[in-house]
Parts: sequence; structure tokens; C-alpha cells
Amino acid sequence: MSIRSGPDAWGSLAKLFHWSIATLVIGNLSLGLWMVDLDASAQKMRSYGLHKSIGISVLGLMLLRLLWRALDQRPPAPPGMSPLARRVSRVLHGGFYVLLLALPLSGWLYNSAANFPLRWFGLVNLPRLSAADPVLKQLAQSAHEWLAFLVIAAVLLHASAALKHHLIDRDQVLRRMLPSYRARHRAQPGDSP
Amino acid sequence: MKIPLLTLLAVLGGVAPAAARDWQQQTESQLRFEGNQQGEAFAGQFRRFESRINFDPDDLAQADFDVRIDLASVDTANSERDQAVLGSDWFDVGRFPQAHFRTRAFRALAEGRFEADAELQIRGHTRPIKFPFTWTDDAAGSHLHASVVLDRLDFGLGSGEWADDDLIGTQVTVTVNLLLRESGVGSRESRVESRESGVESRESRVESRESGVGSRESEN
Repeated sequence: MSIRSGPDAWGSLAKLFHWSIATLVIGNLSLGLWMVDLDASAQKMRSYGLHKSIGISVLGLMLLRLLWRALDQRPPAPPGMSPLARRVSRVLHGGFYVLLLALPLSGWLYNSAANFPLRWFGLVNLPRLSAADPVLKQLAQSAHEWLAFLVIAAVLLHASAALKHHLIDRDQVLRRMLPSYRARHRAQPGDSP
Repeated sequence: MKIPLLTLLAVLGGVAPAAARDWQQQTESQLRFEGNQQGEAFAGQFRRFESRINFDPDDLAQADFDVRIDLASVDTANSERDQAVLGSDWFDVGRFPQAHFRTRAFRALAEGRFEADAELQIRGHTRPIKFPFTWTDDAAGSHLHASVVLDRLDFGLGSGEWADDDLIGTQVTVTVNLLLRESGVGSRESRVESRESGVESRESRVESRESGVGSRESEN
């Protein structure tokens, strides 16, 4: 399996970005929904610290991923897809990138405006995006919450579309992103319906 | 003999009142602290505290500080943290609304520098502390400045699961900056004067800055 993507399959680096970010985002959404209801405690503070560290990691990985995306090629959409479906897919993937950058950034801004520290996995403290500001804090908190629900919706939509490709269209769209998948043959025009 | 003695007392009275010199805390006074949360320093202050300062650099035997701090007035520019620190794991203001600082003995260290043996009570724990401070005078009044490092665990602040120094630092630096103006019979008189007649009071304010300016500010 090559690091770079080919015409039939995603390269190992693109897969690594996809699945590591997917794991961190789904884990952090769960952690975030759980931790907000904790009573004030050291456990709550540690949970928030972990949530922030994961979020900052997602932000960093997303920036690297965008950089790699600019250098790498993308396997084309399967031939069976209608022009409308391709456009919808392109817009939704673009939106996904925007959401996955905006979600950690809004959290960072919320944290800064609330005047909390931000330490990445106990190793390094990150600068503030703003001074303590109660009004901005409220705005950023709302934004962070709404963005989180939009990301949940996007994850569900994305997974549904992948399953639709796999089960209904019976094409390679889901399979070619799986870690174990290797292009065995070049896609032929007649391969997919 | 009667008249010279009275004259002498009157002259001395304005300079060094016999027993002790009482000072009034001005609104510019600050009681600040610096803590550490998750590796990052944060600044806070207590907005309400009341100090009784009895101090004459030339008569330390009479000196006496007594300060009460309203713990609910804590402000660290973070509403969640300010709320949490009032709870039962920390200040527990429901049971212990005030911290109390009082001195026991004073000694001079150098010109303008002193040290007091003091007791600080927080959350029902009374601990002896050394309280080194400087005392300086300028046109605004007298300034008492001190900086003391405390260990929060000495006062039972954040024990148990909070004891971890890495999450919330155990060392807290408390910085005291008091602006003081001397209070006394003289100043009370000049305050009455200043209410009655503008021109005269302004003159008396110039003559005696401690009483005159003080009477104006302390009414804020």
C-alpha cells in the first residue's frame, strides 16, 4: 500500500488521517457530552483537560491533512455517480473540513474567553485566542455546542452515504478507505453499476 | 508650667500621637494573589477586605494589624472558578465566610522594611506566618507592600482529590498593597471643616495632606 493515493484507492497517509481523526472526533464528542454534566470535581477538570487536548490534536491533524490533500491526488468518484450526487458529495466533504476546523477553534476560543488554562496533554501550554470576555465566552460556547451537533449530523450523513455506496450502489467507495483494502485491479468502466 | 506643657503636647500631638497611629485603608488598596491551574498562572483578588492598621515605624511595640477578608469577594476573572472556590472543597464560605489575619509582634529589618509574626486563619485553620513588608510614604499617603507565599494545603484548601499539585498548584503568592492615610482627631475636624467652607478646607488640606486628602477619599 502506497503512502500516496492512487486512482483506485486512498493512500496509507490519507487513510491514517481519516481514521485517526474519525476516532478522535467520535471519542471527543462522547467525552464532551458526558463531561458537561459532571459535578465540579478534579475528575471534571481532568476530563475537560483531556477533551481540550484531543480537540487541539484534531485541529493539528486537520491542518496537516489539508496540507497533504493539496499534495496528494484523490481517487475519482465511481463512474455510476450522477453529476448531482458528485456535487452534493463535494459540498458535504468541504463542509466537513470546515466543521472539523471550526469545532476545535470554537472550543479554544471559548476556553480563552472563559479564562481557563489550555495545556496539551500536560506537556505544553497554548496561548490564548482572546482575553477574558464574558460576552465572547457565551457566543463561543453556543457556537461550540451548535458545531458539535452539526458534526454529529455530518458523521451520521457521511456514514450513511458510505453504507449506501457499499450496500446499494455496490461500488468501491467505502472499501477503498478501509485500512486493509488494496487495489487489486484497475477499476474498469463496467465494474460498478 | 501648665501652659508650656500644653503647648508641648499640642506640638507633639500633631506629629506623633502618644499611644498609636491608626490608619485608614483607602479604596485603591489591593489584596491580590497568584495561583496555578494546569501549569498556567492565574491572577485573582479579593474585592472586599477590611484592615485595621495601627502602626508607627518608631514604636513597633504598639503596632497591630487586623485584617478581615470577605472570601466571597474573590475574583479570578473566571465565573466557574470563582464559584467553585467558594464550595465545600475550598473556602467553604457557608461555614467560613471570612479569613482573618492578625499580627503578634513586629521587628524592623532595614530602613522602611519590617517583619511581623502573624497568624492567618482560613477555613478554621490558624497558621503562624512571617509577614515581611515595606512601609513607604509619599504624597498619596503611606504604602504597605507585602508578598507572601502560602501553601493552600496548610489551610485545608482543596485536599483529597484536589491535593494534586499538577492540577491546582499548592503554592499561592499573596500580594498586599495598601494605601493608607492616617486617621485621628485632626482629620475628623478637618472633615467637618471641609464640608462647611470650601476655601478654608482646601487650605487645611494642603497643610495636612494625610487628614485633608484622606477625608475626601475615605468617603467614597
